Amino acid sequence: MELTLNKKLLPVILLGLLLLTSLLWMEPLSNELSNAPVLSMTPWESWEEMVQEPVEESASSADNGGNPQRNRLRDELERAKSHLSKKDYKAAKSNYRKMLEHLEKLKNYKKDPFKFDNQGLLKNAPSEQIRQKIIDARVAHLEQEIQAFYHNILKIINH
Amino acid sequence: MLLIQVSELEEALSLLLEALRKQQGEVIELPLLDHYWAIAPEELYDPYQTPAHLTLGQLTDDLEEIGRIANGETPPVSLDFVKLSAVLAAIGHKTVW
Repeated sequence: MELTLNKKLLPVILLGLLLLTSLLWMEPLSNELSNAPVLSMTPWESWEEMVQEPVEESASSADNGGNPQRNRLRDELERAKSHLSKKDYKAAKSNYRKMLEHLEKLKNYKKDPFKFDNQGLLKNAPSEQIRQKIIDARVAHLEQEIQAFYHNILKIINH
Repeated sequence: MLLIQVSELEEALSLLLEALRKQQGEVIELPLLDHYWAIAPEELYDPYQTPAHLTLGQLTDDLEEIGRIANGETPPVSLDFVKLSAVLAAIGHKTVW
């Protein structure tokens, strides 16, 4: 009877041992993955999603904090700090700072494009359509620069 | 693979700036110049496609950024080369010496 029971239990015990071994083997990998900086930030998220309400955070406050719940990109940056070399962290932070400065620049331009019309290009535009085209192209340029800073931050963090 | 020797770049830039200063003086005047067309980086290095997404850069804005780097107000990053190159291109296109 005892022998029969052991025979029945043997596959169960073996399966249990196999499961235990798998779990022990997987644990370091899962720890490594949870610490990886790429998990919560994916390149297909736009800078608009990653930096909410940028107007409330000045470039200088990028070094000191601000509201951490509003800015996921800064959180990601801080999270990645432990994985990055000093050089890479500095580069990411510098790009982040530039990104905030350019967000501010974009906001100011959208608010009053004529303020930046040093050449009188907008003022003397031959038509409203051309004037709007210039404004749109300038906005697109600033957005593209912000996007470039954002992508560089991602590249550095995921390096 | 394109190999760029930084020291060579530095030497050439230094010689060019020295020549510019001798030819044009310390302050370069480029009248009636501010906006310029820029090609999106995704299209800039793709000769198979004609660029379709042009944007407008602004030299006064680029110069301001370069000035802030020079003053130590903002840290230099790789993308600042794009701004600097726009200013250098304007000098190249609009001065003759």
